[in-house]
Amino acid sequence: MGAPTQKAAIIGVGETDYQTRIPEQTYAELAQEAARKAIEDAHLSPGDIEAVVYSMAPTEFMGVTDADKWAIDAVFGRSKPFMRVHTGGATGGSAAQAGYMHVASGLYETCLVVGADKVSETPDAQFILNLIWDPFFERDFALNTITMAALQTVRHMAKYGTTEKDMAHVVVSSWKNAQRNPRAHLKGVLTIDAVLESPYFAWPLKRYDCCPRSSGAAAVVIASERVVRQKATRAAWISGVGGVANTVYMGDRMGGARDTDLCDWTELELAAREAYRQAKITDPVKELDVAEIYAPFSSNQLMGVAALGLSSHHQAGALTQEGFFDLGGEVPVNPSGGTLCANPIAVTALVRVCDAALQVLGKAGGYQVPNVHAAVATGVGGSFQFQTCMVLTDEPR
Amino acid sequence: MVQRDDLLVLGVDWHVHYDHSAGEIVSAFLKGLGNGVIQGRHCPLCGAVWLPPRAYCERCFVATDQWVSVGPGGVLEAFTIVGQKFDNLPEPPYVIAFARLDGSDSSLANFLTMTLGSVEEMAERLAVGQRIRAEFKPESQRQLRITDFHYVLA
Repeated sequence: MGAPTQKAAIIGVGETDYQTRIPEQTYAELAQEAARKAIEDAHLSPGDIEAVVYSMAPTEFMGVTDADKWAIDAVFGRSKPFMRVHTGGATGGSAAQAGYMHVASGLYETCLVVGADKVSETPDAQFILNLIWDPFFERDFALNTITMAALQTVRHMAKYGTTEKDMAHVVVSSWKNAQRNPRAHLKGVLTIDAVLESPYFAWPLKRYDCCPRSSGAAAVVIASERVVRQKATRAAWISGVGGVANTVYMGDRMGGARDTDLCDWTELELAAREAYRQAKITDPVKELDVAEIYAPFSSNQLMGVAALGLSSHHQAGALTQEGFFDLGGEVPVNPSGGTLCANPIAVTALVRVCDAALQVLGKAGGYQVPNVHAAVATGVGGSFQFQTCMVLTDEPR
Repeated sequence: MVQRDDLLVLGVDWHVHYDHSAGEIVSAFLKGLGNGVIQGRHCPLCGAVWLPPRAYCERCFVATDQWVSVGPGGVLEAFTIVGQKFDNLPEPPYVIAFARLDGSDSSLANFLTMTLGSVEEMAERLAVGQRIRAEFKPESQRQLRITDFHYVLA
């Protein structure tokens, strides 16, 4: 792998509120709101944007095939290079990386990364998610995001002794954090017992272990070092990126010939290793001040902290219960409330990047972690087969 | 959210049919199911037997060279008990399982049929590592589909 030819940083962040439905705006208008906010936040005008990367996952949720086309004018993409990126849930992480590569390659000085989703435009989201599976071998067996996460979680419980109570702590902490985030979809006071007593969707996952279906949009403006210096603006430097894909077959990741384990999030471990190498991070617990982990199900956060080197797999549950990852803990995880509290699928991983950037920029408001020098954002998609990792820092590295 | 009567919605339905080509390898596998046989593909380099069967070993980048019959016994690698009704799917509870059939190196998804109870009761009777068995439908009911068999506890 080569090296970037110039440094790149996030200088603008734009997000809408996340909620079940947003009937006040069409899909394209929703994407536009985030694009406009990010460009304004960067103190740029649409004419300053040289290229657009569009973050769009399966379009069947909002029912217009390849909806990115609908949004081109709305996000100020007309007459500019424009590409859509799609890696399932990881889409926003991959799109941010593609935006970074536009600038880091030296080919562009600015790039807008933007997307939107309206997951609740259809009541049949889990039916659509079933369609990602092979029609010959897997689609018949009621696989969807909830059941695939449950299958993975069962392995984690068997391998590491993880309990439903460990998972419940993740939920309670996320909902509590989300109270400080005005854009979060779900938030409030939940007790461990309320989580444990909620009905099973797919054992061992219960209602509150699962993320919502959200509508909303997000965007970042990525700029070269030259633009950052010209504007004399604060910047969240993109100091490391990693992305790893794996087979769609979950059965390959639990069989005798497995080289990765579905429940270990090995793909994220590999992606993080690369991102940390670029960002010169050797001790993530000491050097990372905050983590925004794409954890659509409570158990995923336990897998994520271990894959990021913030814990061992065995200790992830105990450390969670001790408050190690809470606001005020050693490494706060998902101070925004995370994916459990807002999940606009096409941009959920971009929201992780937005929230990590806001932390580095000191603009996270009520959920700001003090003195953030380095933050990490992750994304996961497909059958847990895509993982992305981005390290953002307050100074270029 | 405040309901606003000035905002309209447009209801739309999709009805789309597809004819998915199974290809040579998958067709041969599915025809095997009609005879009550589950077969994986063998890699001449690493020796792995892959299920679902593949024309190429995706680790070694060589063509697989022979069919190997696997099972009917195997090991439960992952499972979940669905407790929620999803549209177009069976009434809960039911069990989705991944099992590694004897002689194969990867796991295959299917339903696992067992005595029903509450979700918690069923969970107590299942464990990763448990022995299972693939059980076929009667020959007359087979459709050359993966649903021609299912798992039961051994």
